[in-house]
Amino acid sequence: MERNFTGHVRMSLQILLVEDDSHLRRQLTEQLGHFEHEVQPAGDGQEALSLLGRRPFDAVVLDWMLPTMDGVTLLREMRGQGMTMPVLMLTALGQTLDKVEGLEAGADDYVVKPVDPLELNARLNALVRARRTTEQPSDTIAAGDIVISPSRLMVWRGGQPLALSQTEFRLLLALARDAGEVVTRPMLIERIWGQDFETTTNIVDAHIRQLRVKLLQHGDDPIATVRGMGYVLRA
Amino acid sequence: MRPLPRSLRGLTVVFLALFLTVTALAGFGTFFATASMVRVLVDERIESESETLVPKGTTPDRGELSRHIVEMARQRDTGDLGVLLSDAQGNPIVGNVRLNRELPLGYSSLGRDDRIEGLSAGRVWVREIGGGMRLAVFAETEPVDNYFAMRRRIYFAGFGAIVLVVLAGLLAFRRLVGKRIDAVRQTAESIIEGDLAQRVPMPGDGGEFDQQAGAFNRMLDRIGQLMGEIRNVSNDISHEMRTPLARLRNELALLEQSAAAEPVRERVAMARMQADELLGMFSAMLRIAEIEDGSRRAGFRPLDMGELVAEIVEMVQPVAQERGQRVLMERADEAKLVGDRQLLSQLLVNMLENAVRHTPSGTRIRVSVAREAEAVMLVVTDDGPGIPASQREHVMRRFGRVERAGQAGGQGGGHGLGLPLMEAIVRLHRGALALEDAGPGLRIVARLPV
Repeated sequence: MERNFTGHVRMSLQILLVEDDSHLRRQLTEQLGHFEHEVQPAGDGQEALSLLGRRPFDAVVLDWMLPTMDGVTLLREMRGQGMTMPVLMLTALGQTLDKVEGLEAGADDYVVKPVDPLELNARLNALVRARRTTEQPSDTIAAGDIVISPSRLMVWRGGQPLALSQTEFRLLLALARDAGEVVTRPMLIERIWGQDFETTTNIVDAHIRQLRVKLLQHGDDPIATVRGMGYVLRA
Repeated sequence: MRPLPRSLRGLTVVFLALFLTVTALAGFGTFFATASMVRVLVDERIESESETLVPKGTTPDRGELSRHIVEMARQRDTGDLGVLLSDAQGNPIVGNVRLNRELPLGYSSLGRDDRIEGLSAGRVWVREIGGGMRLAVFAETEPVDNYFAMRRRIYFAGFGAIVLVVLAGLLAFRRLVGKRIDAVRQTAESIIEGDLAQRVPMPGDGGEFDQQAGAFNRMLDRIGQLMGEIRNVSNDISHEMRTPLARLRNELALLEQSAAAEPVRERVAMARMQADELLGMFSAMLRIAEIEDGSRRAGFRPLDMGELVAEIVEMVQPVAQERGQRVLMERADEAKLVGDRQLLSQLLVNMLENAVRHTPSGTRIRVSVAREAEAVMLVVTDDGPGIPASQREHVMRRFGRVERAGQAGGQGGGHGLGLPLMEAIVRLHRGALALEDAGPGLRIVARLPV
């Protein structure tokens, strides 16, 4: 049932990375480069603002703890200047209040340090994709032969309606929003249950298996498992 | 037998008993010593007057003696004396006193009952003077009438006042000392309960209690500081270890994804998962540290536990089903409280996953949310193997795992931080977490005050 993730990336993004720790900055620049993104590093808020003024970026990865100008100030400045690109913030573990403050200030997502590059890449792709699709809203979402109507809570596969539980529905929707892209387990947990928790059992995998059983009634398995990362729904 | 009681109350009682005894003895002693001295002096006087009247060894003439007696009663320095001459049958011959009873020979006391005019207490000496006659000489022992009764009143008032002052002082002192000791005890108990910020109130007068409270508080500050340092060290270690470990993990994850890793992908995946477990352990430690620091209380919001529990039960259900276990929602009261939604979800996930992971196939896991007067009771009960009473305290500690015969340590997963994390979450909500015997099985009870 498992398929290997091919690793090829459709989107090559222009990313601004604002991180004061030079070691982490270098590492993240290199690691995001593996996914064919073009990464522009910046060491502090001032440098980041001047770079933002010079050319457009698809997304910003913003360390929350920065010298002189902290993440929240920089973010407010950016939003104040009308920059709407997605911002993903990096927070230290145990800084929940920073996280809350960041999301309230207009950050789109966050990743807790130490950063898993696969997780970071998956989230960046999802953020950029979400920005592009909201520009052309439609009532239904399609992925392969699967059609989902979020407003009517209905799902069809090959024209046949499927009876899914609420959780299964949310899971399929979470995968379909980024069909063709890896959606990681933490992302799925956030999208289905609206918050993140640590689990010590394979909760997400068990729900995926239940969903697969229902999807297999009307065709082959459209969900691929990406080892050590998450799942991809065939586009 | 203990020589002295050690409690404040015991000491107070013993001190009071001793004090009352000594005061009473001193009072009575002085009173009777004075009375007896007066008596001796009066006795000496009546003896000397009697012998002046009839010197020893002489037999007086009856007529002359009578004259003497009448004369004596008129004289100024002997006018206060009573004299009575009587015959052998006790019939009075001459004297300035009448008596209603026969007096014994020798010294004796007189009282109000003797109905002698102007005498309320006195002494008399009766002797045979030959010729079949008896001579009795009387004297008052009171300089004024009712002197004895007055003296008694003065004594009672004086010593009574002393007793009252000492008693009041003692009680006030006891109260003061008791109150201070209570303040220290209450502080200590709050600290045992987990409120490490409690301090002994300082009276602020610079006295002994103030100094003692100050020293006690400085000791608590120091302990807090040391605890903080230890926590900081372990948090620093966790932080420091996480970065290189994460780099290692990320290298493994990238390798696992690469095409070149095909022949060893399984083993790379294993290594990556082990790194994930280690990272999870450090994360849990830092998470506990963050929760224990209490700052998340600032983000508390009203929520309904009944609703949250239903959601988490649905979330964990498929995992349980795959393991052949059943999760039953037994009771789900509407249970509103103010708390951290994310942490309470984490608590519920942990409570349920704990039951799922540590029980065999076929186990029934029952969940209930009960709204009580002052708290929401969150209970997860399983009918699995349970945890022996002797090990329950151990598993609540960090890295404390259940030891079972025939099971290698660490098997069954978990870094031994699940229960401490749950407890930290419950304590953040000022509640209490308890492990109980469900006979058979384990019951985890989280009591969350509303």
